[in-house]
Amino acid sequence: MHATGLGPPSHRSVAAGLVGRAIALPPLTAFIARRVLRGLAVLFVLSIVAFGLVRLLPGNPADVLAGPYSDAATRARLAQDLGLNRPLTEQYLMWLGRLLHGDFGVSVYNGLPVLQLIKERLPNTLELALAATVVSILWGVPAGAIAALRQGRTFDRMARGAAFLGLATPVFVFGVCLVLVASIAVPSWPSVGFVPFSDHPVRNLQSTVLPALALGLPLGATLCRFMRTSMIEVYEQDYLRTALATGATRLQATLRHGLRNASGPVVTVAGLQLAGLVGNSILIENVFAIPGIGQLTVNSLMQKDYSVTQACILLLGLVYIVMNLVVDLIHLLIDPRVGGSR
Amino acid sequence: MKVAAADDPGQTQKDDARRGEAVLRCRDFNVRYGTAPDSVRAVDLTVRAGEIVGLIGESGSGKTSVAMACLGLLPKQAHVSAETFEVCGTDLAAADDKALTRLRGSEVAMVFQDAMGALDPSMRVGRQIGEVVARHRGLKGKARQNAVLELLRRVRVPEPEHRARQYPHQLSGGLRQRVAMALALAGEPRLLLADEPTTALDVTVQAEILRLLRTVRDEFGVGILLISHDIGVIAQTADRVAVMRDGEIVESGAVEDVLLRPTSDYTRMLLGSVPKLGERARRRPAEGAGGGTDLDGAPLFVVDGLSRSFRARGRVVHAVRDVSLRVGRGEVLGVVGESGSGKSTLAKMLVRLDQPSAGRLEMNGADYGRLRGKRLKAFRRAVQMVFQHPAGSLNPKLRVVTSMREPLAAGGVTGGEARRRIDEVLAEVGVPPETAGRLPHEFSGGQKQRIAIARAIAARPQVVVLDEPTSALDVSVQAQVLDLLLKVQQAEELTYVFISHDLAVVQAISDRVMVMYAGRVVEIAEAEALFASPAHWYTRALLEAVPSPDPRDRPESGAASPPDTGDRPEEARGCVFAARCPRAESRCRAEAPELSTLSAGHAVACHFPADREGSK
Ligand code: SF4
Repeated sequence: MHATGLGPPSHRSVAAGLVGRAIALPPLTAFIARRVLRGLAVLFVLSIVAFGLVRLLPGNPADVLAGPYSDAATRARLAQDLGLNRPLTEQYLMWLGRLLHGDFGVSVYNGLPVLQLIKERLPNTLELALAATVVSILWGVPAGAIAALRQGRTFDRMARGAAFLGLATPVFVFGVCLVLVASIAVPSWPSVGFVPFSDHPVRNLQSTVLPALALGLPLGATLCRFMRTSMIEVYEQDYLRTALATGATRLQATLRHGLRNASGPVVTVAGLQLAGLVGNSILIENVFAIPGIGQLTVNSLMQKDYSVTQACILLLGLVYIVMNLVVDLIHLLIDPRVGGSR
Repeated sequence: MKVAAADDPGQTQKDDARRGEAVLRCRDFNVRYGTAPDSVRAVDLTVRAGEIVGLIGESGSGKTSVAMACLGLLPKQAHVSAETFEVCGTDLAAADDKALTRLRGSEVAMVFQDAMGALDPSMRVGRQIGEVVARHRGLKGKARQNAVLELLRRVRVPEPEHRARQYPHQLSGGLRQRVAMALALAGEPRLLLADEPTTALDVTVQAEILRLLRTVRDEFGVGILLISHDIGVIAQTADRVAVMRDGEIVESGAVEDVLLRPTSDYTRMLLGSVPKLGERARRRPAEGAGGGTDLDGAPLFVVDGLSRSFRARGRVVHAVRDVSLRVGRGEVLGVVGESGSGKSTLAKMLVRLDQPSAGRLEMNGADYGRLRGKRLKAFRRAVQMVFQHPAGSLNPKLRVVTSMREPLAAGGVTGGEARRRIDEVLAEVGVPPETAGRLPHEFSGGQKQRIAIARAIAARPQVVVLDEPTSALDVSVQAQVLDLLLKVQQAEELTYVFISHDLAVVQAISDRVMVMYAGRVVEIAEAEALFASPAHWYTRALLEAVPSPDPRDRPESGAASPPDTGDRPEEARGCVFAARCPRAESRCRAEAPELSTLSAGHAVACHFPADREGSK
C-alpha cells in the first residue's frame, strides 16, 4: 500500500488518547468554537470592506438629502452634521463602536432605525428563501436520485432536460411566465402583491407560493444535477457492489447505502443556495413586489444611505457564515469520517 | 488446453467423495463485451465445497470477469455463453434477475480487494453485517445482534462488541478485511469469491488473512475461489490452481503439480519472474570498491535526528521519529516497512517535498534543509523522485517529450541538445525514442513507469528516490523494471533510496536495507546480513510473513497469533513493537531500545535481538 505517512486512524495508544482528551475540548464544541471565531473574523473584515465600498461610490448622503437644486453651503453643512468630513478611520471606528453596542444607526433617508428596517423585511426574505429551498429540494433531490437509478432511460433524459431548462432560464423570465400561467389558470389566485404573515397568514402563504416556485424550480435543477452525479459516483463505489453482492436489490442498496453517502455535496450546494437566495432575492422581490432585504439593499445603495447599506452587507455575510456552519454540522451528522469521531 | 485432473469425469467421482459437491461448475465458459473479441474464452473451472481454488493471472487476464459473472454482476454490455455455468446447482445462464438476487449473499458472496471501499463508510460495521443477516436469515433484534457478534468472533475480530459499533475508517486494514469477510459469510453462502483480498494489505496482515481463509474453508465448509496475481499467496493458500492468461486457462491442477512442475511456458515465465527471498539477484560490478558500505569516503546523504509530526484532530502524530542515516555515493539503500511506518514521509523529506519538524539533512556536506532560490533549484535537479503511479511524474495531458524537457530545461539544457538527451535516455530505458511525441495514456503501465524513470534520470541527477516504483506492475513487468533500474543505476552512477513494502523486491535491488516500524528505524544492515540473520523481531515477523511461491513451504496450521489491530503506540515508554513481539519482557515495556551496533554495519533497536542462527 502507498503509505501516507500518517498511520491508520486508530494510530494511538489508550494512554495517549486519554491524556489528549483530558486537555482538549470535546471535539464538537471545539469545532463549533473554532468556526464561530473564524466567522467573527470574516465579519470584521467584511465590515471594513462594506464601509470602504459604500464610500467608494460616487455621491454621498448629504447630496441626496439636500436634493439636486441645493447650494454648496447647504451640502457642506449637512455633511458636517452627518460627520462625513471627519477622517475615514474615525468614522469607521465610531460606526464599529456603535455596532458593538447593537446600534446600527439610523437611515438618513427616512429617519428610521436601521435595525427596524431590517426586522421588517428580513422575515419576508427568509420565508421566501426557505420556501424556495424546500421547493428545490423537493423536486431536485428525488429527481436526481431517480435519474441516477435509471441512468440512460427515459426518466433520466427527461430529468436532465428539465434541469438544463432550469439552469438556462433567467429567474425573472421564469417568474413572469409563472405569473402569466397562474393568472390564466387560477384567476382568483393572488399572483402579485405581497401580504405579510402577521397581517394574514393564509394570504401570506398563498402569495409566497408563486415566488417560491419561481425561485425554487430553477434552483432544483442544480440540485438535481448534483444529486445525479453524486449518486452515479456512489453507484461505482465498492460498497454498493458489496450490497448487491450480498443480495440487496438495486433499490434496497440505493436506499440503505446510496442516498446518505451521496447527499454530502448536495447538502453543501443546497446550503449555499439558501444563502445565495437571500443575496439574490432582489430580482424576484421586484417581480412579485415583496418588501424584502434585496429591495432594501438596492434602494439604500441608490439613496446613498450608508448605514443601511453597510448593515445589509454585514447581514448577507452573516447569512453565509451561518449557512456554512449549518452545512458543516449536517456533514458531521451524515459522514462519521468528518470531524474527530473517536 | 490441459484439462484439470479434478475435472476429468473418472476422477470426479472420487473427488466428490473426498471433497464436497461442486458449488461452481463452468464448462466452455465465455464472456464478451459488446462486439470486442471474447475477453474470457472456453474456461473450464470447478470449485467444490471445502476447497480453495486459486486463479492466478496478471492484470487484464479476465480473472475478475469470471468472478463477477458468478455473481451475475457483469456490466450490461457483457454477454455470457457457456455449455455449463452453474453456481450451487442454479444455472446462471438461464437465471433471471430475481433468481440472481436470491442467489447473491445466500449461495455466493464476494470479498473485494479494498475493504475500505467495500464497506459503507457512514454505517457502523455491526449494522452492515446485521443487514445481511436479517436479509438472508430473517433474524431480528437480539438474535440478529448475537449472530453478528458470532460472525465477528468466527473471523477472529478481537472485542467484537466494541468493533461492531465502530465505523470502517476506525478499523485497521486487517480488521476491515475481516469485517468484509464476516459480511460475505453473513448469508451462509457456499461459494466465496475472494478477488485479490490481500493485495492492499501489509505482508504480516496478509499472512493473517490467508490463514483466516483456510480457517473459513474448514469451519464454514465453503468453496473459495481465490483470485490473485501473487503466486506466493496462491501457493500458500490454495488446494488447486488455475493459471489464466488473456482470457484462457493455460494450466490447472493441484497446487503442487502446477507450481512445482509447470507444463506451460507461461506458468514457467511467471514463476521465473517472482523475486524470491533468499535468492540474491544483486550483482555488484566492482566488488573491490567496498560494496555498498558508506564508510569509505564522505557519504552523499547524512540525515541526523530527523523527525516529522503532524497535528491531526488535535492530536500529534509522529510519522517519523529520530531517524539518522548515512547513504554512500553509488549505494542502493532499501527502506522497508508497513503502511504507516513513515517510510514515504521519510522519502518526501529526503527530496524536500516535505519539511522535517526536527533534525538535519545534509547532502555533499551542505545542510539542504535551508536551501533557497538557485541553490534549491540545483538541489532539486540533483535529487529526483519516481512514484508508484507514473501519474505522479507524468502529466497525462502533456506529450512525453514535453514532460521530459522540463527537468532538462531547469538545468539549462534546451532545444536539440535536450532532444538528443531525451532520445538517449528513452533508448536506455527501452522505450523507442520515436514514440516520444505520444501522450502517456498511449503506453502500457510498465512503459509509463519506464518513461517516469527516464524523466527522472534525464537531467543526470545524483540521487533517485524511488517510492514503491514497481508495486503497481504485474510480476513479469516488475522483473523487467527492476533489471532496468539496476542497469541504469550502474550506467549513470546513481545513488538510490528504494522504498517498498515488498521484501523480495528490496532484497533484489539493495546494498543495504533499513527496516522501519511506527516511524522509527528498528534495524539497518547490509542486505545479505539482514535477510540471512534478521536480528529485530519485527524484521523476523516480516520475513516469515512473505508468502513463498513454493507450496511446500506452507506453514503447518500453527497457533494463530492475535490479529494486528493496527494500534501503534504513540507515546509508549518502551519498545514500539512490544505489543506484538514474541520475545517481549518487562524491560521492553519500560525502556525504549536504542539503535545499537550488533556487528560491523548491522545495527538494531532491540534489547534481546534474535541470535544469528535464527533460533527463537
Ligand atoms: S526490545 Fe523487546 S519487545 Fe522490542 S523487539 Fe526487542 S525483544 Fe521485542
